[in-house]
Formats: sequence, C-alpha cells, structure tokens
Amino acid sequence: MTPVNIQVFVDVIALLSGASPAQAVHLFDDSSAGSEALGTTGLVSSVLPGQLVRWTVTPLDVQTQVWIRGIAFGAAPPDAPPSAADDPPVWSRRFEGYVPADIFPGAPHPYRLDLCFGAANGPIVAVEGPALRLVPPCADMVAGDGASRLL
Amino acid sequence: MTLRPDDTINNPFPGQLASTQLNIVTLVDVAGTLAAGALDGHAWMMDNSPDSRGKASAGLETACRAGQVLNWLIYCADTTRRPDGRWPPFARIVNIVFLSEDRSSVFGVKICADLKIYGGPDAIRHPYTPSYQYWAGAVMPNLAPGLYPYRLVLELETGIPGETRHHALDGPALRVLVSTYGAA
Amino acid sequence: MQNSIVLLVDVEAALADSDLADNVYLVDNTRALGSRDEGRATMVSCVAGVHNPDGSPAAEAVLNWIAYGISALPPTLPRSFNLRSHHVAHDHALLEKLAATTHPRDVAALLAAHHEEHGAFGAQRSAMPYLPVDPRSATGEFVSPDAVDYAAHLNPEIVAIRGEAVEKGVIFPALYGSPDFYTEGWYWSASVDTNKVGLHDYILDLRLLRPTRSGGAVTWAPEIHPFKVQIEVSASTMVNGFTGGPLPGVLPLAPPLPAAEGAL
Repeated sequence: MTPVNIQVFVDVIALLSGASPAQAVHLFDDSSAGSEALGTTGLVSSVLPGQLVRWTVTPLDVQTQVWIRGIAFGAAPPDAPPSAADDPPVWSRRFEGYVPADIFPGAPHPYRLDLCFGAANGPIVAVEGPALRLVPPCADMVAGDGASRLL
Repeated sequence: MTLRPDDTINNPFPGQLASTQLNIVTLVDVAGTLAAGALDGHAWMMDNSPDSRGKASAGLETACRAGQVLNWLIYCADTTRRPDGRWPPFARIVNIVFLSEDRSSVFGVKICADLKIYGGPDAIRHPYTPSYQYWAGAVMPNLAPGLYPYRLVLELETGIPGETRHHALDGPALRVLVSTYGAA
Repeated sequence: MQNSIVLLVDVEAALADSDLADNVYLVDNTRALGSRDEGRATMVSCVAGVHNPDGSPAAEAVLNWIAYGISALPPTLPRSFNLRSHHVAHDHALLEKLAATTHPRDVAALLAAHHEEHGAFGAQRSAMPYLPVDPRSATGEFVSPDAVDYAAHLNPEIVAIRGEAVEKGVIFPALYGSPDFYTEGWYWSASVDTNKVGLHDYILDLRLLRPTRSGGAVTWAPEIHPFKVQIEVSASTMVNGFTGGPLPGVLPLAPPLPAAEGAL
C-alpha cells in the first residue's frame, strides 16, 4: 500500500498580509481512492486503514519559511496545544502517521493544521477545514486505478 | 499621465507584486498521471501573484506586468525516497509554448525574454554544488496588456530507465496588466 | 531551507575609507533560527541543518547572497528595460515644448533647462552599458552619470566566494544565471554540508567602482575588496511531529464528530 502524500502550498506573504487561509493555502493529495475539494483548505483525503499519511508544506515563493507546528484532530479548541512537543525545533518535525486499522470507515476526521513562520514568537495561522475520510480497504480498487498503478 | 501602481488592478496587498519573485508552481501527481495516462485531475497550478485567477486548478491565469520575471517551478506529490533506496519517478518542465488566443496554434510574437531552463551553476566546482532546474523568463518589456495562453510541456519519468512520458497542460495563461512604469 | 544573506554596502563611505569593514550592514532571514548581530558587519548567519536519525540529511540547506548599495536605486524599481526609453520620452517632451515656442529666446532657455535637468538632447546618457540610463535618486532627482557621486548608485558586485568554509567543504558556492534585471542576471548560491557543525568563516570579494574625473571624463576603476563573513552551522535530528520520537505511529484521530456522523 503506497502512502498518501498531502501537500500544503502556502503563499506566505499573502497570508501574513491579511489574506485568509482559504485564499492563501492550497491542499492536495495523491490518494488513489478519490479525494474531494483538492486545492482548497476543505480537502477531504480518502485514506485506507493502516495507510501511511504524510504532510509536507511548501512556500510558493520558495524563500520564505513556513513550517507545520502541529496537527490536531477532532473538535479541538482553537488554543489547544498542537500534537508535537515544543522541544524539537519546528523545522525538524516530520508529520506522518498510520491510519488506525480499527476505526469504522466512512466518517470524516477533521483536523486543524497549525502553520508557523520564520520569526521568533511569530504568528501561528490555524488552517481549519481539511479532513481525512476513512474508506473501506477495497475502495481504491473500485476507483479503478489502484490495481493498475505502475508503481 | 501617471498611474499609481495599484490604480489598474484590484490588489488587496499593495506592493506585494513588486517586492516578491513571482513563482508559477505546478504540482504533479506522477503516479496518478501514469496510471490514468493523462494529467487531468492529477496536476494543478498556482502562483503567488495576488490578482491571479484559477489558482490551484489546471487553468491558472497569472497576473503579471511587462518586464516582470516569472519562475516556473514543478513539484511532485511523492518525493520521499523509498525503503529500497530508489526515488519515486519525477516530472520536469521541457517546454513552455505560447499559443494563439484560441490555443489552436503557436503564437507568433515573442512573449518572454530569456525563456529557458535555469539553475545550472556557472561551473561544476564540486559534486555538491547545487543545481536547481527551473524555467524562467522576463515578460517582454514592450508587451501589450492582454491574455497570453500557453502550454506547459512536462516530461514524466516512469520508473523504467530510459522510458519517459510527455504530457501537456493546455490551460494556463499570463494576464499581462497595464504597465505603470517607464515612458508611456 | 533557504538562507538569504543581504549585504547593504555604503559605497561612498567604502570608497572613501578604501575599506568595507565599517561600511557593510548584513541582514538575513534566519534571525528566528539563531542568527546574531543582524544589521551589523559582524552578523553570524545560523544555518539550521536537519538530519534523519541515521545521520543522512533530511533537508537541504542553501545560501543565497545579494549585495546592494545603500543609496542605489531601490531594487523594486524596474531598471534597464523600462528606464531605457526615458531619455526618449524627455526628448519628446522637449520637442513638444519647442514646437509650441515662438520666440528664439525661449528656445535657448528651453534647451538650457533641458540640458540642466536631463543632459544633452538625444544623448545616450551612459557610456557604461549596464548602468541605468537616466538614474534618479529615491526622491526623484536626476543624477548625472557623469557625476562622481553617481558611484553611490552602483550596486557592489560579488565576484568570488572563497575562504576557509569553501576550502573545508562546508559551503559549495557557484554563480547562477537568471533573467532578473535587478541582479544584472546573476546571483550566487551555495549548498551547505550541515554535518560540519560549528562556526565557519568565508570571504566575499566585492567589486566597487571608483569614479575619478580626469579632464572632462569620468573613469570607473574596479576595486576588489574582500569581506569576511561567518556562518554557524547547527544540526538537529528529525522527529515525528505526532509521536515526538523517530518513527511514525498511529495517527491520533479523535472520535468522529456527532455532526459529521449525522451528515452521512
């Protein structure tokens, strides 16, 4: 089972100049099981039980700094601490994990993505709206291209 | 007549256009494209120009000005080295072709100066000297404002040595705004 | 991660002192990562390396340099191409004024005023092809390219990057092409071996142009001034953002929301 890569592209300067996350943040994935709202902060990624999910963030202008500070699942209050401990610096955190195998498929699992930038004690922008949706193990075959993938 | 830079466009972030390099970023799901045999639904384009339209779609319309430098970058959805040490197949830009208004033929007027691949060092001083590989060009300084469609031609590795696939994105365009600098 | 290192050079003062030491101000984009002495010639740029638990690099570290003259044209102003036609526009304006003039005395006055402000009618303003034609100060005043104080309008140019950090294989610099007019089409970039943790020196060779007037002409003599800069390479180990350890675990999914369940 290949991992699902969730790519987060950020127009950092727009975001820090007053644009909303919906305007300046774009989420995509390469799930073979059919995702929804690609390119938006409402991305619903279809994932399979036991599949590895990876998040990667890239600044559109290449030279500004943006990192994922934390990812919080569920209806976490806005000020809830992100999942990562504060000890490792934000630039050395890799966000990936396995989809639980014992969760009933179908329900979306919304999450909040906390982005931070290259300034000490600088702003944290919370991206609300994306979700993982668990699909049954055979869903990627039904979608047609799962079995025919070259790789 | 002197126009102020932001008179001609509805720019929510005045000044941004002049101070940041304008990057046109394409994301390609290489495995998805190879499986489907087409880019449709597996490639998206976006940029950091505040007035562009169609961001995060295959029909990006980049708002820019005559004389401005544009960089075309490409990212692949999967760039993680595999447990066996191999890299997943990558995609690269092999050409940028400007098209007529209805995209039926190649446009006869030069749109960008110095439009080519960049990122190679002046001399390979050491194997660790960085190499970047991106396309860039400067919008011709005398180009009339208007819509300039183009085709982005991509080459995708397949994972089989020596075997590649070529696909084109036919939806993008440059929207050259009224230039507000220099002699009218 | 990309480190951008900007050198602001007081070109007039550096030429007067024949020394860069007190006339360079360094700024970078990694203050939050630990860079020190921002805004001073002694700035130390912090390069934050990240390694995988097995020691292999987990992220690339890249340095980019750009040098500006403090009194040079703001880099966001389009130069070269857009300004190239300015003298034509001025000449057109002059012709229009002349066409509307009836008295010879006014013609002489118009020509004198034009010459005062823009130089000779129809003249190519600069003998140096890469200089901006018809340069203006930030307040819009015309600066004659023949004036010695025009020196401040010329950006210093990095012509070489060398020294200990290069010799020891800490940084691997090279010059790169670009279609960008602002940088005259060139910029320096380097990758960093973040295994070489610690403080390292390197030398930037900056070229300044010294104007000297002899007779009626100004001659621009290039001078190379070395300038020592430091980087501090640090390294941290990549950890999983969810588990805090080296390996990924099961994602901490919360129970589905009641509202979401109802929507199914």
